[in-house]
Amino acid sequence: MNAEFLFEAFGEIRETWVEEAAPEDKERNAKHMERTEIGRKAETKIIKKKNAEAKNSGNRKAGTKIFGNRPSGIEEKAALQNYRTWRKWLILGTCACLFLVVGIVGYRITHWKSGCGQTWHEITPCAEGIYFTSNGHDHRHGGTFLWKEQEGKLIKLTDATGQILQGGENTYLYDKGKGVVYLLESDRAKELCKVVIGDDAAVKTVGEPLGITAWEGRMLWTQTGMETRVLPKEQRTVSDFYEIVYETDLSSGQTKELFRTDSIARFANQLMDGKLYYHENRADESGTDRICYYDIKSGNTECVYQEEEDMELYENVVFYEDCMILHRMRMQDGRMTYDKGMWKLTKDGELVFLTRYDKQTAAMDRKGNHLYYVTRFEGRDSVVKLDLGNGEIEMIAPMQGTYTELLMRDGGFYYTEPSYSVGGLFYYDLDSRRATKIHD
Amino acid sequence: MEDARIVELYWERDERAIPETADKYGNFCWKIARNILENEEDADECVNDTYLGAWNDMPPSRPMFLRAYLGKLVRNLSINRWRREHALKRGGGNLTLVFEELSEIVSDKEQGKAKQLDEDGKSPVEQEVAAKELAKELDAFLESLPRQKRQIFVRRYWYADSTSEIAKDYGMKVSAVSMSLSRLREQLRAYLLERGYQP
Repeated sequence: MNAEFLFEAFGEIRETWVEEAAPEDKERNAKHMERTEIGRKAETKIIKKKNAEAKNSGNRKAGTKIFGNRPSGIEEKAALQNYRTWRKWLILGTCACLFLVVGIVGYRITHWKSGCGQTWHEITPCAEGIYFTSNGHDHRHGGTFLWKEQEGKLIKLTDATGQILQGGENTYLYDKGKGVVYLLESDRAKELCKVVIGDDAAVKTVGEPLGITAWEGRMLWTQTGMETRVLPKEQRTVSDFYEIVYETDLSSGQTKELFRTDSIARFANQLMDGKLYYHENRADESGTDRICYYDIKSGNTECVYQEEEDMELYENVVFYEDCMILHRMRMQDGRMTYDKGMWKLTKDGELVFLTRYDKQTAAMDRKGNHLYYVTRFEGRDSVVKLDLGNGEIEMIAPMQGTYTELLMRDGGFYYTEPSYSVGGLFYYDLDSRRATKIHD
Repeated sequence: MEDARIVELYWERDERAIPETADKYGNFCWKIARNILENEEDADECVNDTYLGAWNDMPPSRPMFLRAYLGKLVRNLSINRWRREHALKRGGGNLTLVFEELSEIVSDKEQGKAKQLDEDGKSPVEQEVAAKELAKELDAFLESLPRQKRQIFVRRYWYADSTSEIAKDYGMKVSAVSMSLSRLREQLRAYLLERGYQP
């Protein structure tokens, strides 16, 4: 029973995990007739149920009149009476509905609050402002929304027709120079994906939609001048598991396959020295994890690190100029290492600092030569500033809860708190030492 | 037919919703039911009940992921049926294996908690709340996993797929899947321990 309880609890996990792991329906065609038969059986069951409901509803009398039999005067009178009663209720019902609709619309206008129940998960600084993405629902839509902060307010971005822009996690990027947001838009029904460019005023589609199945779109990086984008696509077959990286020229719209990985891979959102780094988790029996890179110029792929047997898995890979930071784990033989919950920075072979990092939240940002992250500092959950040059750590703010994202600004920082009850998007002002909730 | 359109059919009380659902997700649902019940006839009945459940639930429900929604329905119905049929006889079967594996994770406290919920005759609602609380932790744990590991874990403990089937789908050896699952169970146990799921 105890394991049953856990199994039952598993039934309550997010639908996205269930959707993500859904097995391929290979037998679908073969089972088509059989399943349709099942459908017919269920359909019959429902029709029976509907008939029973109709029978019990009292309207059966009028509804089941045998056509062709001339009704008697009493029946006609009863039918007329029935009609009048219905008409009365119909008018009353319509009025009530109208009243309700006007009330709801009025309430929405006066208490407008879009994005209720959002889970904020991306904060990206841009030349013109800050862009946010959130997962959640409003009264009309569900999915991932793109927002922009403007004069202290959050605005959901829409296209030229007023349609709200929706993408998936990691499916947008921005051009600092142009202040343009690129969004990877999907059409799951048709299994297509395309890129749209949004600069608040106009949105246009770039490139032909890729007619690929089971894609998992993710914007990655751009070359100088935002002329290319890379889109990895996970491809799974019975014996293979790999990702294809596409490159699209945003000017011409032409898309071509750049390369494919041997196995499932996680890409860093950065390009360093013309190399696209990624973490690869091999799907074979070895299940090994490696850090690899694809050299754009030469077209070669090389793996620069082979994990040890007991190594944990990489998550949220972030690459910096002089080190790689791999959340949740220790990392390669660079200067900064993470092991058993501790960050270690060494310089010229000497230990510069040793500190804890909360691997569960993974909130981190870098600004200049400083790395900001959440950790337990002097017995308190805090946001700390780490000087990457000398390793000095300074507590800059106490943490109020669990932070999943950090974005440093000059006078403070944005953070996300995932709690359903008190969570949302916040801004912490370093001068006043106060946190302000920006959005639920 | 698109999922959104199928959902619309339910909302419009259009009976075509059922054959469309059966056509698109019938086999998907059936496999889940069969994984749990290991009996094709029982699985058929559970799938039928799933359609009926969907019909009764929509409206008011409007699932964002129809497949996952149907999967959850058929899973719950199958578990209930499995319980009824295994009230007297125990042992054997795929689900029993899954439970045996999961029993490695469940800490004493959680076992006691679940047991107490039953023994004290506390309401199913309270049990549901406890399961939902635990599910939040499971969500966080799953989020921390790489995608493939997460998928394998969900395939085993949500879909109750056999290790051989998982291995086939991911091009892995059965032993590698078992090893991977074993490590993940260990990780989950440690994760839950950290969060006070043990005295």
